[in-house]
Amino acid sequence: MTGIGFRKDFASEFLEGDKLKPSFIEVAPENWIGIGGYWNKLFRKALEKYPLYTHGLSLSIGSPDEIDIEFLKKVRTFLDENNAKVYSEHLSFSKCDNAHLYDLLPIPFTQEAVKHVSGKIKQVQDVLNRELVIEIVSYYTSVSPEMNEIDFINAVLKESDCGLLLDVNNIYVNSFNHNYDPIDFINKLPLDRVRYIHMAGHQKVAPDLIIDTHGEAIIDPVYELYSYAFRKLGREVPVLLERDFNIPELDELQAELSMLEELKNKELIQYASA
Amino acid sequence: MQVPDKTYELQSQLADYCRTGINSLPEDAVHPEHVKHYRRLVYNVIEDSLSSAYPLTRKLLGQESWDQIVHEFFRSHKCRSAQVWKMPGEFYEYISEINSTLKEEYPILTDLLLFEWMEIVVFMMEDIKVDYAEEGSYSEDRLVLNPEIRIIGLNYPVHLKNASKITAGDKAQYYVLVFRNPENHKVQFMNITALHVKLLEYMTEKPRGFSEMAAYLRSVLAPANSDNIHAELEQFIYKSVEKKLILGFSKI
Repeated sequence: MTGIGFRKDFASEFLEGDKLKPSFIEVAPENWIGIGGYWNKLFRKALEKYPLYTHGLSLSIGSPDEIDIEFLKKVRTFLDENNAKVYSEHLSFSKCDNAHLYDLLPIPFTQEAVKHVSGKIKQVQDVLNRELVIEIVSYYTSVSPEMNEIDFINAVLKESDCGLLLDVNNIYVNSFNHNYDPIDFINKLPLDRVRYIHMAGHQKVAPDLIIDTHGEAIIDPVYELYSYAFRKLGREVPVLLERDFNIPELDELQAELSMLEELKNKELIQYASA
Repeated sequence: MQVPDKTYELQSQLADYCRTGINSLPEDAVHPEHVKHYRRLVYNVIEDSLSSAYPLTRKLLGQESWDQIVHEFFRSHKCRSAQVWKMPGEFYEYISEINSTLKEEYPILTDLLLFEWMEIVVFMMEDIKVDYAEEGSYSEDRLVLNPEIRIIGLNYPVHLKNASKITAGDKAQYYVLVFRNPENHKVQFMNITALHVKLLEYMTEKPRGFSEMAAYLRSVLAPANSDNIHAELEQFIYKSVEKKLILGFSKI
């Protein structure tokens, strides 16, 4: 299954035409909770045709602040009412000292943070009564790390017992920015926890820095890492193509979806016949 | 569930830097040449959202003043909403509450922001279901008002004139009805009077019949102004039906 982020930029063209044929759509609940009128009409139309996967933006699971329970309850209602298959969020923080920042900031890789974040993930899973699937985010600087990234992520996954969103592009971006081997990184992840995969493009803004923009086509090294991930996984996992900016013609997005499906099937067939 | 002090302090310093540009993070805590990208990315989200929400205000103020007020807002205000599309509403509230030389220079500023923000509020508002019949009698049935409306009061006619052409001489009391067309979902604006405001509030309580509305208008008007009530009400209803402000009929 390969899906596409359901964006207002191309929602109408997507629903009226047949150029883009995803297996499912993904939305950020924040962008659709409590919305009526034109966008609600299009969203309802999309849900008649496609299963829904969700990827939150504002829960701020890594925040020093308390979880916003009132907001979380709205998310739960949204997920239940729209039969969302997956609810994923970011292993980062976007709110601090009661101020939303609307972007993903890196959690310090500390033992204290492992304990704090894991507790919050458990709390979210209790309120939602479903598994939370956590995405490894791209980051541009670590903040006073006491441990390395992989140990931090694995500690959080183990202590919170949540699912993992394997964002292959983020792993590529982080391996470049922080100078490590992405294959080795994937090998060290508990792949049995992977529930969902994200793929996207990025932008190199300096010789030593890539920003995760979701505004470009996926590049070959990221496709290669994706193939490797499926070689290791050896099972079907839903894959989402993220494209948030610089949106191309829909047939270009479909070509990327087809490529993702093709590469995944190739690896899974080889895995089955091995 | 309180995060321990050291981790909290680092997160708070990074978040503060993104909002204010004042970097109090220890040099050895971060990759200094990369940390600036977080401030850039965070600020871009804020600026993009506000520019999309307030194109007329941005044009009126010009780029320099616009950038200045957006920076000031993000530095001084803690955004409360988890939904980024609602954040521009906090910008309007912020500007309304502060003392700013910009408000002295542009007396229409808060009116223009409210006007632009209400278009978003009404465009995005949740659907409100209401029962009505499409066929009916204007004289015998009650009329059902479109519930997807907001009424705003303004001191300057930002809904009638180009913002840059409005002068101190235009200052007066204006009322604007903002409503969403239930068929094409587009937002429409209608310049209305204080009497219309009273009538719409009366109709919002529950569907009203023609004679009921006429009697209500007579009760709130001075007798000398009541002569043309029937004709004026007929005209208002005709226009409201045409614009889908009145949706249909509720049988008595």
